[in-house]
Amino acid sequence: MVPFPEHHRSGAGGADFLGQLGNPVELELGAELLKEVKTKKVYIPGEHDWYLDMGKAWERMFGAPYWSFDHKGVRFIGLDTISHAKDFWTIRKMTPQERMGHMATLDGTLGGAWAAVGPEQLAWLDRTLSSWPKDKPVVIFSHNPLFDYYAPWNFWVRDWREVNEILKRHDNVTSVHGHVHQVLYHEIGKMRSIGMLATSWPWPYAPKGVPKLTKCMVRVDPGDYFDGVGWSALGMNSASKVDNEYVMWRKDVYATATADSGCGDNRNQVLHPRLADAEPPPITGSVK
Amino acid sequence: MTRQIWIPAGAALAVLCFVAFQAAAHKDKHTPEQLKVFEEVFLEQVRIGDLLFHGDADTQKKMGVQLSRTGMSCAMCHPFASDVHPHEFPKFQEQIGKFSTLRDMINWCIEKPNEGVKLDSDSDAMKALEAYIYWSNRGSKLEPGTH
Ligand code: HEC
Repeated sequence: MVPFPEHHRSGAGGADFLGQLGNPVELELGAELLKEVKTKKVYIPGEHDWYLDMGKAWERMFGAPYWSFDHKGVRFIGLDTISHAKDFWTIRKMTPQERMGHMATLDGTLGGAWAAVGPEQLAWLDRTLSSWPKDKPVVIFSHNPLFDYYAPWNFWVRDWREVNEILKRHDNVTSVHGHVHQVLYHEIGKMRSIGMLATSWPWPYAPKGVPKLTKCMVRVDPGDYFDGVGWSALGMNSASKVDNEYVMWRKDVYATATADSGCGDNRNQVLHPRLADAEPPPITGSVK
Repeated sequence: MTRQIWIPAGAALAVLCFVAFQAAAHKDKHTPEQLKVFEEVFLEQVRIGDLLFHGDADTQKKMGVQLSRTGMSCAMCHPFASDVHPHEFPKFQEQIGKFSTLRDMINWCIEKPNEGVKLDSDSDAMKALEAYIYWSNRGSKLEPGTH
């Protein structure tokens, strides 16, 4: 129902590039591909859509970055979790391309904890939900997870506790999020969170904080562009709960054996943040 | 005849090595300044490797290497050099179909997903990539041979 035009293979500029960096040509191509989907479409932005022109082209093409509507007794909400990065580019006199480069680097350190909902949108969310009965279903779409998974890769929003304060008034909330490019499932109180696969490439599970409720996805074959990517079929069942079925090009989405599971190969992996992109100012010694 | 020449030549070399080794041997305790220099030499390679791993165009140009032709850098799939598992090498690597080192697999990923130009296995760029990968995974337990 809600496609995520986060990444796609694009032939923009004559090159066969994977992924997109907010170039209007790339956004147009994404919109073009999504024309195939004939139902009503609503969109939320990802960071790759935004930081070239601070969302101008995206908003012109796809509308407001956050919204709400009701459908068959469900309140649907779209949140913008990506546009609140703190300005690291002005004092460094960066070009828009350089700014996007840093924002689009998952393990970049300059962007910092950029994912957030922000006070204005929180107030809006509060108002939007105050008129909705406590026991009726709410489905929320956001790019980043609405819980704390692994902050260094922004697998969270930094104000997730405030978001949760508002959402916990409701008995039946499902959060559907992107950004993690992996099978992910989590519950906080009554809120369930479901992570979406990417259509571009998969990401390894983070070294810390994988939710206990996650059934781990398979390890991926790096020689096959179509491996580890896919989509989801989401539906509301008769008990008003969201069912999710992951679909990959390969048959088995999950694996439990250590040698085959994407969590298994994390069991002994200690990782460290980068040095090279934090300059200037120069850093000496090791950074933990 | 030749043998008689070779033996003294070998001995001379051994003496030479001994003299050189004495000069560089650990007879004196290390000063903090010395240790700092050692660390800086290492971290410089880590930084270069970090830039290569993250697809930095200038660094690749300077070193005359092309690690990718798809617009993808290593780090896009391996944030913080995760899932590279340097501590699990050497091992039998399915993709290559034989017993492989970390360097073999770095080259495989350059050629396969990245469609780049593989590195000479002893090149500066390869050593720098290796330095960054090990540095970023430090603290992981050595488990050679693990899939
Ligand atoms: C399109 C995504 C992608 C890119 C780009 C990529 N890799 Fe990989 N790489 C993978 C995946 C997926 C694996 C398999 C991980 C596993 O076995 O769990 C892998 C495996 C590896 C391994 C072996 C790990 C193991 O335990 O078998 C090494 C080493 C490696 N990559 C290095 C690199 C380097 C260096 C680069 C850049 C030149 C790179 N990769 C670029 C996806 C990628």
